[in-house]
Amino acid sequence: MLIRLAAITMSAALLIVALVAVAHRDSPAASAVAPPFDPGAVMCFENLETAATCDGNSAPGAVSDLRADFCVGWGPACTTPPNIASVDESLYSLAVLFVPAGFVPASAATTPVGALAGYLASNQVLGILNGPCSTQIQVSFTLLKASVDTGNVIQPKAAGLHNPFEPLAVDISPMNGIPDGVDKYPAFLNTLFASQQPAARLLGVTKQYGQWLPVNLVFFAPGASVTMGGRTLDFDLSLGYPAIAVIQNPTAPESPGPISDFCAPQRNVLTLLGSSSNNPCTPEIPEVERLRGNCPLQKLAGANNSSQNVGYPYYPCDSGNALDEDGDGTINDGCPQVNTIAESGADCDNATSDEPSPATPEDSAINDGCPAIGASEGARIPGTCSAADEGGCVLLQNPPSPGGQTFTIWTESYRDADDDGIENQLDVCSLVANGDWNPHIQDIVNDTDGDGLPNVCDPNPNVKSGINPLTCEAGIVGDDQDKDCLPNREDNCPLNNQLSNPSAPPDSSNLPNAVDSDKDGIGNACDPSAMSASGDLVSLCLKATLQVGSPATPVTATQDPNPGPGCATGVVGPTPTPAPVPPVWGDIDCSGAVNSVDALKLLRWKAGLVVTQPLGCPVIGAPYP
Amino acid sequence: MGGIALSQLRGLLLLAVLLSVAAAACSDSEDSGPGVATPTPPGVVAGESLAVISIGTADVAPGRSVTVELIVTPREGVTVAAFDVDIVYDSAVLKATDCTPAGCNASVAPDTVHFSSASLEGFSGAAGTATFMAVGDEGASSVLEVRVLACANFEAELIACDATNGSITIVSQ
Repeated sequence: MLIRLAAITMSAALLIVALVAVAHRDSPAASAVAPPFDPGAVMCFENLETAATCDGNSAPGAVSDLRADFCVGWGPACTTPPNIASVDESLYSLAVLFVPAGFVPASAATTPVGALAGYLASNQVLGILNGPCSTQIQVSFTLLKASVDTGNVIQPKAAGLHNPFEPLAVDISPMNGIPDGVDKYPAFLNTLFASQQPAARLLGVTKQYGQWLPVNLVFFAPGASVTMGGRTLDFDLSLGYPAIAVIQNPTAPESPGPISDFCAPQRNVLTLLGSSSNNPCTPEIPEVERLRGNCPLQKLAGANNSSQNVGYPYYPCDSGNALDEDGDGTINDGCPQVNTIAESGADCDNATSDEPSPATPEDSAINDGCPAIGASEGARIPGTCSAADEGGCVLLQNPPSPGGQTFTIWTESYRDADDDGIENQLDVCSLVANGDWNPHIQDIVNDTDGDGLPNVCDPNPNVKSGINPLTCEAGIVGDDQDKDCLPNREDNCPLNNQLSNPSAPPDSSNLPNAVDSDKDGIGNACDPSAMSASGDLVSLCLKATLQVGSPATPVTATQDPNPGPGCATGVVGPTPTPAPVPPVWGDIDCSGAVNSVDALKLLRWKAGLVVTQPLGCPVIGAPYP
Repeated sequence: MGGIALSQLRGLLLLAVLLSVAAAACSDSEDSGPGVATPTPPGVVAGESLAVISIGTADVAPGRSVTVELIVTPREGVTVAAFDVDIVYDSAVLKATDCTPAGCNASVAPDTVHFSSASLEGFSGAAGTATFMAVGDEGASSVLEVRVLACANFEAELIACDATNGSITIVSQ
C-alpha cells in the first residue's frame, strides 16, 4: 500500500510508547503493541557550498546553514547502510523538526517567494509496480520559499487521476519561473491544518517514475496550537518553530501509480539555508535557458524536462546545471563548490562538458571552479534579497551569545492493527497477523504466487491475481485482485473493489476512491473501525544540542526518556479523539446545515473535480455510516 | 471542466439546486440566525469580502406586484459558485408571491424568501428574482434585508460575501 512519507496520523489516541514495548514479528504479542521504530538523527552547522559536511559557522551571530540528518534503519547516527531485506522497522508517519526561535531573525519573513531556502536529499526505498519494497533510490528536492497566503490556493488533480500533483509542479499561472505550488498555497494544507495560518512554508517538487512528488515543510509560530488531521497539537513555546513535513496530500485517497510502497529504511538530509540563494529561473527566462537550469515547464502533461529524482531548479553548481546563471555568457563560472581547476583559459569557455574534455572529465561537475565573472554567480554572493535576485536574504542566524541550543524532532511510527510488527501501510494483510512475511523480498514462502497478496489473505494463494484492468486511468500498475486499479500492495483494502462505481469498468470518470477516514492505512471499505485508527504507534522525541560558539561538530540526537505530548514537557497522556460529525442526509460537508455548498460539492463530484472534505467527514460516494 | 458539456453542467446545476432546496425545506426549521453575516471563511481574512450579494429597490402601487432582482457581484478573479441567501421583509407591507430560479422558496417563512443555488459556471449578475405584492397602505415601505447564510467559491470553500439591502415602497399610481 502506498504510504506518504510523512503523512499525518489523523486521529485516535496518541500513546507514548517506550521502544522496549515493540513486538517482534515472529511472536505477535497478546496485547496491543506498536511496530518496531527506532529512528536516528544528527544535527550540525553546515555550509552547503562546500563538499564537506557539518562545516558551517557556529560563531555567535553568524549566518550559517543548518543540517538535520533523520533516518530509520540507518542506525542512531544515520551512517550505517542498511541491509534492506532485514530491516523490520516502521517508516515514520509524522516528523516535526523544531527550530529554536533564537535562530530565526525577523527578516526571514520578508524573503521573496521563489528564493532557494533549503535542500532535501533523501535515500528512499520503494516498492515498484506491486513488487517488493526494495528499490533504493536517491532523490533530492530544492526547497523554495513558498506562499503562505491561505486564501490564494491551488488544487492538485482529483484523487484517482494519474500524476495528481502536476498542477503544483508546473509554471502556468502566473508564468514567472516558479512552480505554481510555490506561488499558491495548496488547498489540502488548509484542510489538513484547519486553515490555520503558517509562519512560513518551503516546497520542493521532484519527479519520480513520471509522477510529481511534492514535499511541503510548513512552519508554525512557536507555541502555536495547531489542529492537524483532527488532532489539536499544543506545541511547547520553548521548543521553537515547529516545521511539519507533509509529503503528497495526506487528506486525499490513494491515487494509483507505479509506486506501490514507501518503506523503511529511509534517510533524509535536510539543509536549511542560513542565507537564501538566487533562483536562476527568475525573472522568467527563455525556454532554452529553463531547460539548462532544470526550471519548471509552462505546460501541463509535458513537464518532462526535469531530471528524474532531482527537484528543480538546480542549485547553481549542481553537476547537471548548464545554465548561465548570471547571464555573462559563461556557463556556471565561478562556482565555488568543488575541485578548482584552471582559473582561466579554455576550461572557462561556454562549453557544457566537464573540462578539460569529455574524454578526461575532471569531476563530473560542468565547468566548475572558473573565476567569478559578473555581479553574481547565482549563489549567495552577494545577493540583493529582492524579487529580481532572491539571494542573500538572512533566513537563519545564530543566537548572539554562546551556549547550547536544543533541536527537537518529534516523530511517530505508523500503526499496526494486527500486532505482527508490520505497519498497516505496508502490511497487505493488515488485519491478519503474518509476521513471517517479509515485504522487502520476493517471499515465495509466504506469498506463493507472488502477486503481492500474502497467502494468509489470498483467496487463491497459488493463482496470481492478474494485472489491473487495461482501462485504468493509471495504466498497468500490477496484480490487482479486486480489479479496482489499485494493485494489491498499494490497495488499502485489496479484496474490495473501491471504484466509485464497482459494477462498471474503470475509466477516467470511474476512479478508485479508497477512502481511509481515520488514516490508519486500512480503507473504510474493510476497516472494522473506519472512524477510529486501528493499532498502536510509537511516538518519540529526539533531542540534539548544538553549541554556539564552540567548534562545529555533528551531534547525534538522543531520545527524551520522558517526553510529554508533542514533545512538550508535562504529563504524558492521550489526545482526545474528535467525535465524528453525525451524518445528516444531504449535509455533504458535515457543516450541520444542508445548503448550496453541499450542492456545489455534489456538482464537483459529478464533474470529476476534487472535493475536499473536512477531516472525519465521509467522502462523497462512501458507504453511509 | 473535465470535458463535461455545457448542457450537462446546466442539468447538474438544476439537479443541485433542486436537491439543495428540497433538502433545506425538509430540514428542521433551519434558523437563519440573528443578523446572520457571512460565516467566517477558512483561508480568508475576516472582513475581506470577495463578492457582494444585493437585492433591488422598487416602488409599487397598492395591491399590485413588483419584481426585484437578486444580484451577485464578485470581485475580479473571484468565482461565486454557491450561495444561500434569505431575503427578509416586512409582512405587514409586502407578501412574496413568486421567485426564480426554480427551486427557490418564496414561502419558506411568512416574511422570508430563500435562495439556494450552486453552479460550476459561477454566478455574476442577476442570479434570481423575487416578486412581491403590496399588502400595506400607500406610503408604507419595507426593507428587503439580505442575509447571506453561505457563500462559496469554485473549490466549494466558504468565502466572505457582503450583503446590500434593497427596499420596496408603496406609492400611488
